[in-house]
Amino acid sequence: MEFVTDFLRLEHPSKGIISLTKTTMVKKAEKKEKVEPVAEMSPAQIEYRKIIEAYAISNPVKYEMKKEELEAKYNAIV
Amino acid sequence: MNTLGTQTFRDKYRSSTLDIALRNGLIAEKICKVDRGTALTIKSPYQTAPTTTVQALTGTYTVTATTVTNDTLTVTDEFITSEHIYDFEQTLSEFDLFAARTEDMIYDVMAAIDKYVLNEVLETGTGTYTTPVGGFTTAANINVIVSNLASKVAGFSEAYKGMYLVIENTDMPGFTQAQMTNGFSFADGALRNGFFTNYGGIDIFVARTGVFSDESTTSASGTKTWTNDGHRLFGVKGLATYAAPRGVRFEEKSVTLKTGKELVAYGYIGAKVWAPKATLTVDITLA
Repeated sequence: MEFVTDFLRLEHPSKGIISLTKTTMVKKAEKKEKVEPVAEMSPAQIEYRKIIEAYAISNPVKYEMKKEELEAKYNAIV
Repeated sequence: MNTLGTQTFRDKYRSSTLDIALRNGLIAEKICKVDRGTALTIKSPYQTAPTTTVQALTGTYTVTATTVTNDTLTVTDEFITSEHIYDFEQTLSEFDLFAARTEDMIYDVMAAIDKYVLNEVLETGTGTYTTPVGGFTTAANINVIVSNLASKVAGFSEAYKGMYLVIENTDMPGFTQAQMTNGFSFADGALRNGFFTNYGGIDIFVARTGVFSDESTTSASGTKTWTNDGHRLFGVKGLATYAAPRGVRFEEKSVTLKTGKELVAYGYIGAKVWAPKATLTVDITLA
C-alpha cells in the first residue's frame, strides 16, 4: 500500500483561496520490471570473456583487428 | 642350498641416471637477440629516418627536425619452480636425485620462458597475414604462404639476417607433403631424409601444439595477456629482443624442520619487438 496526496485549491468566502490536501491510501501498483533473458555462461566462457576484456585493454590495436575472431572463439566455447 | 629371494638381486636400470620426461625443443633463443645483462630495463632510442629530396639544380633546401623516439624493454616476469627432496629419498635412491631434479627443473623454467617469449613476440609484432583456407596443413597452400610471407619483409636490409617461421607440430603434414612433391632433387631429398627445416629460404621451427595459446595473467603468461591460439609466428631473425638477466639460476638450501634440501630454479624475463621494426614480425592467422 502507498499514500497518495491530492492538493485542492478552494476559494473560501472569508479566508480567500485555501489549499486542502486529501490523502488516500491506495494499493501500490506492482512494479513490472523488464527482465532481460540472461544467457547462462559456462565457466570456460567466463574465463574466456575475462581474457577478451584484458586483451582489449592490454593491446587495443590488435584487439580491434581480432575482435571478430575472439568473439567466434568465445561462441564456440561450451 | 641357497634360498635367495628375488629382492636380494640388484635391479638393472636402463640408464645410470634418472630418465627424463618428454621435452619440447626450445626456439626463442634461435630467433631472438638475447641479453643476459643484469639491467631491469633496456632502452633503445630510435631516430626517425631522414628524407632525401631530389630536385632540379636550385642550391636551396628545407631543414627538418631530427626526432628520437624512446623505447624500453622492461623485465616484468619471474619464472620459478621449486621442490623439496628429503634426505631419505636421496640416500635410499639408486640415482642422484638432486642432479636429476636440478637438470629437469632448469629445463622446465627454460621451456616456460620459451613459450612466454614466442607468444610475447607474436603479440607485439604488427605485421599481419592470413593464410589461405586450410592453413599449413594443406600442402597446396605452402608455396603460396611461404612466398607471401617472404614478400612481407623483402626489400628491407634486415631481411638478410634470415627469416624464420614457427609452426606447431600439427601444421607439419602440409609442409612435409609439399616438400616431398615440389621440385626434383628437393623432393627426392625430402622423401629420403624427411622434413627439411628450411623451405623457400625460411628457417622453419616446429613447436609443440599448444605453445601458441590464449592466456591472461595466468601461470604461463605472468603479467601478460595474449590471444595467439590459431596464430603462428613469422619474422626476421634477431629483431626481437628478450632480456634474461643471468639466465636460469638454481639454489639448493637446507630448511628448518626438514631433512634433505629444497631446490628452486628461477629466471627473469622481458621481451620486446622494437616499435620501428615491429612490422617485420608477422602475426599469421590460420584460416
